[in-house]
Formats: sequence, C-alpha cells, structure tokens
Amino acid sequence: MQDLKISRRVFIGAAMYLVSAPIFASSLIKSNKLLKIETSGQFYSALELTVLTDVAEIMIPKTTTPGATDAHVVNILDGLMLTWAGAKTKLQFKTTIEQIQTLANDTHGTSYADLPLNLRQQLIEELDLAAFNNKQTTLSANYRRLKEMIFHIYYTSEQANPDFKLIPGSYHGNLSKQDLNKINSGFLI
Amino acid sequence: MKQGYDVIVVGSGMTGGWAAKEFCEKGFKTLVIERGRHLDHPSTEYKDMQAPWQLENRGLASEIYDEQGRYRMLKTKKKKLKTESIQFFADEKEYPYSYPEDRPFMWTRGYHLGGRSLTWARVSLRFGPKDFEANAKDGHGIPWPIGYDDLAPWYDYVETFAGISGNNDGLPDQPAGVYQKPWDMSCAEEFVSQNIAKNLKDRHMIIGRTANMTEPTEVQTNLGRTKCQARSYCERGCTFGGYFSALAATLPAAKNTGNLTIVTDAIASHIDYDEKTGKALGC
Ligand SMILES: Cc1cc2nc3c(=O)[nH]c(=O)nc-3n(C[C@H](O)[C@H](O)[C@H](O)COP(=O)(O)OP(=O)(O)OC[C@H]3O[C@@H](n4cnc5c(N)ncnc54)[C@H](O)[C@@H]3O)c2cc1C
Ligand code: SF4
Repeated sequence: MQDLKISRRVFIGAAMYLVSAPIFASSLIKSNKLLKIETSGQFYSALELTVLTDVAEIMIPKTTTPGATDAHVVNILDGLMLTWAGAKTKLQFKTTIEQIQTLANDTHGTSYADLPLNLRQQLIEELDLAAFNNKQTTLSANYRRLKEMIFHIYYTSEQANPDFKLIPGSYHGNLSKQDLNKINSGFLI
Repeated sequence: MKQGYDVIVVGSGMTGGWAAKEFCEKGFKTLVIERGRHLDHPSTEYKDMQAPWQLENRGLASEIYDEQGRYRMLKTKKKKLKTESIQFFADEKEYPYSYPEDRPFMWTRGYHLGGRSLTWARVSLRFGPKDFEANAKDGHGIPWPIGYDDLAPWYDYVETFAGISGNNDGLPDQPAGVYQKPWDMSCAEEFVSQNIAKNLKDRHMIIGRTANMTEPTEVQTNLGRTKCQARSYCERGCTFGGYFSALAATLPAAKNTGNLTIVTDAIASHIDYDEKTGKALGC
C-alpha cells in the first residue's frame, strides 16, 4: 500500500474542505465588451482566466437567468484545478485555451481577447459545432470536456438554483398544473 | 479485567445490526466487533444536508484516485466517483481481494459501522412461494428446507420494524407484505404501467417496495427516525433516518437495551470453535 498518497482517513478528515471562489479583479473593456481579468488565479494566468470567463459566458450567457460569470464558474474552476483535476485534465484544459487562441489567430489574425464580441461568439459557436460533429479530434475531446465542466459548475451553483430545496418533504409523482401552482404558492396538498 | 459476553457479533452491517438488536432485546450481553471506523448517527460523514454548491469539489472526487488506479470497481459501477458517497465504499487497492482470472467478481464493500446498510439501494422484495420450490422442481442446486409460509411471519417482522413502503399488488410472485403507503408513480410511469396492463396480461409494472419510510410508526419515531423527505440523497447517509440502516434503526434499538457494546477498528481474525459442543467459544 506504499503508493497510496491520500489515505482513506486523511481523505475523510479533509472532507469538509470547500472549493474557495475568490473574486478576481477585473475591468470591462468597453470597445469589445470583454471582461478582462487583471490578476492570476491559483492555477490559471490572468490571460487564461480572461479567455475562460468569456468562453463560459458565451456558453451560458446572462439572460433573465444568471450567466456563467454570475455563478462564478471560472473562479470555481480555477480552484478545482488544484483540488480535483488530475495531470491529464490540467493539461487538457490549458491546451484548450491555447487552441482557442490559435483558432482566433488563424481565423482573424488577432488574439482572442482583441476580437469584437460578435466574432468571439461566432468563433466559439463554430468550434462547438465542429467539436460535436466530429468527435475524433483532440480539440473536440478537449473542448467537450471543458464545456462539460463549465456546465457542471454552473448547474451545481447556488445562483443557478434559486428554488433549490434541500428538504422538499414530500413527493408527488403526477401533478396537474393547478396543483403545482398551488404548491409553489405555499399550499400543502 | 476480562469482560465476558453472551454473544459476539462480527460485523455491524445489515446482518450484524439485526443480530445485535435481536440478542440485546432478548437480554443477552452482546459485543459487536466492527473492522471499520465508528460512525455516529447522524454522522458528520453524511452529506445529505449539503446543497450541490456545498459539496466538496462540487461533488466530484479527486482525479488523483483515477491516476492511482483506485476505486476501479466503484468507478466501473457508478461511472463517476462522488465526494458525497465515496467515503462509504472500500477501495480494493487499499483492501485487495482475489478471484480466479476467468471468473472476476465485483465485490462492493463498506468498511465502517453500519456496513453496506448505508449504501444499499433499499429495494425490499420478498421471495415468493415459487422461489422456494424452484430448486426441487428443476433439479438445480439443493431444495430449500423451508417454504414461503415458514418465512412469511419473519418477513412481516422485519418489514414492520424496518419500515417498507409499497403496494400489495395481488401478485403471487410478489407476495403481500406489511407496507407503509407506496410512493406515487410519475405520470410517465403511470402511463406505461396502464398500457402494459392493457396489452400484456402476464406482465406487471408496479411501484417499488423500498425501505424509505412514508408513514413511520411510533417504534420508528422513538428511535429518532422520521419519514423520508423525498430527496434521493440516500447514498450520502440520511440525517432523518428516513431509510432503513443499521446506524439509524437496529443498532440504536440494540443500544437502548443497555446490553450492547460496540468495538470498532477491530478485525475478527478467527473464531474459536469447540469441537465437543460444536459451538463457537469466541473470536
Ligand atoms: C450499492 C449496493 C446496493 C444494494 N442494493 C440492495 C437492494 O436494493 N436491496 C437488497 O436487498 N440488497 C441490496 N444490496 C445488498 C445488501 O446491501 C447486502 O446484501 C447486505 O448489506 C449484506 O449484509 P451483510 O451484513 O452481510 O454485510 P454488510 O452490510 O456489508 O456488513 C458487513 C460488516 O462487517 C464488517 N466486517 C467484515 N469483515 C469483518 C471482520 N473480519 N471483522 C470485523 N468486522 C468485519 C464490515 O466492515 C461491515 O461493516 C446492495 C448492496 C450494495 C453495495
Ligand atoms: S431516505 Fe429520504 S430523506 Fe433520507 S436521504 Fe433518502 S431520500 Fe433523503
């Protein structure tokens, strides 16, 4: 058992550890509507965080519901890279950012962060389509994995779950719309 | 000073918990030896009171486990290792076992007080009369020395204490039991069930019989158990004691008698056996 780096007991002892989500210093670049992250995180550089934040917000934009930035998706992701990610994932996610930068340069002759919002959106939309149409490439695998993680963090965030009830108390398998409305307005049925 | 016991129970899981309860309630001084760690009920290791954003690593167990080739069985079964429940499963790299190459065996274990009663899926079905007769009829295996009628009162006994929800569906292969109110089917399940009933006379889709309480009895509430809150968080451990486990039900009942002693972090390595009496002397 010499090779076990985390013993079961140590793991359990550390189980109360929560991923911290420091708020990064940022500024909005008005000319191209980019949220520029000013400082490095625990794992990613400021530039990588800028690209990630933008990509996550394109994937899950703020509408009438919170967006990825509201849910601090990238802040959490940065922390998870130290507490959750293995070497393969660390490399995979860093590579994805590099690949997005390369795509921007190859397609538009400029860095991702300097592109106007509509071109950044178009770039990510096209990358998304290509990644799901042809799943054989490394870029596709990297991108889909990053996207899955961004959505996982979003769906497990407090901001994305304003109606979350830890203790619903009961289960109704088959409700009419009227019954559901009643329950939502506080009635017990 | 050496302390003597009338009974020693090895393991505190599903079976050990019941054995401890029964012996203690009948007045026997009972020692339970458990190889794993102690857990309270409710336990600080239960994760059922954490919202998704409060779970360690948003519910994802560290990928270091993958890199070290740990929890492979659990990973094969569950696809993802989760911080909400991994603490209740034994890692075969830490606790290896062997099997013939050509007959691999997936052994899911839980080494802690309560054993697998914490992580079982709570499906609580009786054998039917046919199950006891099948061996004799088809000539496979050894015929059962007992029949359904011998066991039926014990099913009643266990179900009454454990708290099983379900429906008496009038099916001979799924005999009626002592059930609390069944859970609702969803509208989709109702639809499928009704259509099966219409079109396939010999097929039945019924609501599960599950150890998630819907109408706790006084005995159950006196043990500190409350009805299931319908969250599907059972594998995290249940603060409400909403599902049956040794930690929530049998061990507390045994403890209440004053006859129970539990020793955790202790592996029973052998059983002392008296050839003359044909009985175990200790371990
Ligand atoms: C994921 C999962 C889902 C399941 N779902 C269902 C279901 O829906 N319905 C159903 O009927 N069954 C289900 N089962 C099966 C059921 O949980 C087991 O059959 C049952 O728990 C077995 O009881 P047991 O007492 O033999 O073992 P356990 O409950 O595992 O208890 C054994 C205990 O003994 C301890 N121990 C072992 N060796 C020693 C030793 N040498 N010295 C001291 N202590 C020792 C262990 O640490 C453990 O605490 C499920 C099991 C699993 C893992
Ligand atoms: S038994 Fe019910 S209340 Fe307890 S964890 Fe399971 S679903 Fe939740």
